Formats: sequence, C-alpha cells, structure tokens
Amino acid sequence: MRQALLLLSLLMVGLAPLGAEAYPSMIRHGYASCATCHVDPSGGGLLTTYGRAQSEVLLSASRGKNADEGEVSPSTGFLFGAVKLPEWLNLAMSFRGGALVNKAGSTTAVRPVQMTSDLRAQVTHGSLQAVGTLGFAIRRARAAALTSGETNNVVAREYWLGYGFLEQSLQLRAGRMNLPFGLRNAEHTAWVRQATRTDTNDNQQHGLSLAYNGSNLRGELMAIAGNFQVHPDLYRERGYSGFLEWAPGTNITVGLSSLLTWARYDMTSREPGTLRQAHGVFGRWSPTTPLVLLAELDVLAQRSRGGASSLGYAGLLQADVELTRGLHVIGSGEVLQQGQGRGLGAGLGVAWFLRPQVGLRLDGNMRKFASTPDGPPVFSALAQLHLSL
Amino acid sequence: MFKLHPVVSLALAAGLLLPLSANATPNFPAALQSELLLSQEPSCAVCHQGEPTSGTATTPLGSDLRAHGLMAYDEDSLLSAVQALRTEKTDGDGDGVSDVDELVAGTDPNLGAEASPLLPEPTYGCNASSEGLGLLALVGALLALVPSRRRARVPKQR
Repeated sequence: MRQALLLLSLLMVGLAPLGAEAYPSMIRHGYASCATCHVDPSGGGLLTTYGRAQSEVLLSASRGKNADEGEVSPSTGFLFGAVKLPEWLNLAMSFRGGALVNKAGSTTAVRPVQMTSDLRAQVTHGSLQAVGTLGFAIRRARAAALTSGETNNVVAREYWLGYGFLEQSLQLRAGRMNLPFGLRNAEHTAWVRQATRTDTNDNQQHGLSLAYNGSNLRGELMAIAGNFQVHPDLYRERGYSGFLEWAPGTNITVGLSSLLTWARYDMTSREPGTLRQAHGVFGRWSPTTPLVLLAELDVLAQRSRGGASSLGYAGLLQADVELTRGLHVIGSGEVLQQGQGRGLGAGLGVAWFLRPQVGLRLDGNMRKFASTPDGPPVFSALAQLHLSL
Repeated sequence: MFKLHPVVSLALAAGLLLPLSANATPNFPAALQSELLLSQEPSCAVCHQGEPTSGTATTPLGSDLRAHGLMAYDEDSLLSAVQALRTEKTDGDGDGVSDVDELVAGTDPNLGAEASPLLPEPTYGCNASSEGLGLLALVGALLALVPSRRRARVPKQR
C-alpha cells in the first residue's frame, strides 16, 4: 500500500503522464527503423497506434490477456483505452520524472526531477499531418519554453507539419523538430547528446527537413533556421543537421551523422561568430536477442571569429541486456574531450517495463569532469517513472 | 502489487520533499549597476557560464570575485570584492584593460582580443517576438501548396 501511495505521489508531483521514449535497442526485435512505431520519422516522442501495440507485444513484462490469439489489449490506447479517439487524431499524455541524488566529494544534493509532462498530439489528413506537444517544465527546458519565467514554464518541444510521399517513405516536414543526429537515445543528458546539442529535452530547432525510411536505409537532413523561442536573434544557430543509417541485416545498423551551424554569438561561450561542427559514426547491434550494443563517436569542432577554437570528441558505448521479459540491465561508458582535459563516465541502470506504457528506471552514474581534473568524481543516482497514457 | 526496496522508497520520498537548487544571485546585477554607475544591469553571463546562467560563478571575472571573498546573496561581499579588483586593476582576460574598467566601458571583461560588447541576456518564450509564428505560417503556406492526395496511412510492419 505504501508503495502504491508513493507511486501516486510521484504522479501528482509530475502533474501529468509517459513519455514515449526512443528505444534504439528495439533492434533486438528487428526494428532497425523507428518510423514504424513513432510519428517522428527518425524516432522518439509520440507513438503510432502500431507502436502502442508493440509496447505490450514486445516491451512489457505483462502480456495481454489475449496475446496468444495475437490480439492487443484495448488498454494500450489513449488513457489506457478509456477514451476512443477518431482515426485522424492521435493523443498521448507523457510523463517522465522522479528523484535525483548528486554527490560530489562531501556535498550531496537530492531533488525531485520532472523531465517530461507533455500532451502530444497528431492530426492526420491523408498524407498531411500536424504534430505538436504542449507541456509544463518546473525547471530547465527553457529553450523550449513558450513562457519566459526562470522556472515553471509552459513548453512546446515539437510542433511541425509533415507531408508524406512515396507511400510515406519520404516525409517533408517544417516546424520545430528534434535535430536528426546520431542515436536518438532516451538518456538526453548523455555527453554525445549534450556536446552536440541534439538532445530531445529542449534542443529542438525550427527548420525544414526531409526524411527517408526505406527497407534497409534511413536518414534525415534538416535545414536549421534557428530556435525561434530564444531571443535575441544573435544567439540563434543556422545550418544543417542530418544522419544516414544503413541496416545490412535485421539486427545491425551503422550510421553517419553531420552537423554544422553558425551563430553570431554562441549561446554558451558567448564567443562571436561561432562555427560549430559535429561529425560522427554510430551503430546498433544485437548479436543475440537479449543483448543490444549501441555506440556513437562524434568529433566536435568549434571556432569563433574572436580566434577561440577547440577540437574534441564525445563517445558513448551502451549495452542493454534483457534479463527476462520487460526487465533490462543497461551499462554504459562515456567519454568527452572538449577543450582542455578529458571527462570519463560510467553508468549502470535497471529498466523495468511493468506493463504497457508504464516503466520504472533506476540509474547510477559516475562522471569525472574535465573541467575539474583535481576534483572528486560526481556520482548521480536517478529514479524515474515513465508513463505514456 | 510490485514492491520497492525501502532504500529506493526513502530516496524517492526525500527527493520529493527537498527544494530545488539555487540559481544565480538575483540582486548582484543591480548592485553592480549601482556601484559602477552602469547604464544597464550587466548580464549574468559576465560571471556565470552555461545555459541557463546559474550556479557557481566560474567565468574569469566570477572566479576573481570569488577569490576576493564574494559570497552568494551577500551584497557587501560583492562590493568589497569589486573594490579589491578595482584597486588591484585585475585584468582577467589579459587585454590590458582592467575588469572594472571593462564593465564601466560596456565591454566583456572575460573576452580579450575583441573587447566584445556586453551581450544581452538571452530570453525565452514566444511572447518576446512573433518571428516563430511567422516562420510557421510561412512554411504552412508552402506546405499548403503541395498537392493533397487522400491516401490511407498504413503502418509498415516488419
């Protein structure tokens, strides 16, 4: 009972419901492409009806009552199937949050985290679709905010119009979108996502993109017009971002990513005339169904008109082992070289998909930052609840 | 019903009860403006790095101020640290102009060669400008020009 109350209180703190996250490890089930299960052709975010069904068929620890007959439970639908939506409308409530403990030396900080509390929607008319999210962020995610507070902001991470061609294998989109680059992993604080500024928390940009999803090749190229939720214009980045991923088999892929942007002033360093580049390789491999290996290595380059320049790299290696249906152990190693020094990180986590669209995740992460070479490593423990209603 | 380990339960409960971490000291920009008779409040970015600009002051100027006794939320410690920098003519970016003189001149004391102007603090949201909506309207109009063919959307299955 106490555990149930605890879970309920977690829910109430977040004020809303599960983020359909991106799971590149679905390659263990032969899903090299993301567009089958996600509305975004490059993965992440709102699930399609088929994707919702797969959360019960493939991900969840509990199977549906009529799974043997090949039927999917109605409870995989919106609000656990309580509301039947018309065919042209796809909705999901998404929540991701919990508690974070950070320990550096003798200093320990514990705080709640609320990463996602979004309503996601897709309206379809023939080959045309409009997709948008609207949510609330207690802190951070300001680059996706519609309001201008230091905290407690209304956020819209994605909103775009898309038109599908050639049996939906080609999709032209315009609006605010995730940057197509590397692995679309759920761990948005991974150095490969942070250093390339391609995480799905608030690093989306406005622009125009063309995505392709073929039988063994997929990719997306986006022309970046800037993040128009950041002001003034001198901080906005313009350029391109894209990736191409080839699947030589149903259990293995290899991809290339490239990003180049220019801003009058870099948002982080405040250096003038900053050209930022990231180019990398990534891959996914499932040698046996329970095991999936994910890897990404990106070269990072930055140069400013003021003369400052840096060359570095970021890497991620992750192993996801499904011990038993719905229960995963995830180990990862990270590296980041940016400017002076090199940071190293290692993590171990457990993800448990209790039932369709409900998951728990516990992660321990140790990071040694390049900026504090003589300082103690930082240890983080994160407990998350994922809901997708 | 599944069970959570008591330690995990405690960590989660503690996390829910504790306050959020502190941000940059909000009274310091106004205090600096008043002390140095600046035409506007300096950006938080003169002392704080990263986005959002909060937490420990780690820019060259911020580090120098901390080295001279700056304490968060303590305005007196800020003013005495600034006075010390003024007396010592501290020049964190090594461009030959002291940090305090750069603040007074409206240039960034952390950026040397170009003596970049103090940049405005970035703001967020859609209330400051309608550019984003304008862009969306433009691309929407472009997409509307695409000939629409009604076609059933069939999810691909492997």
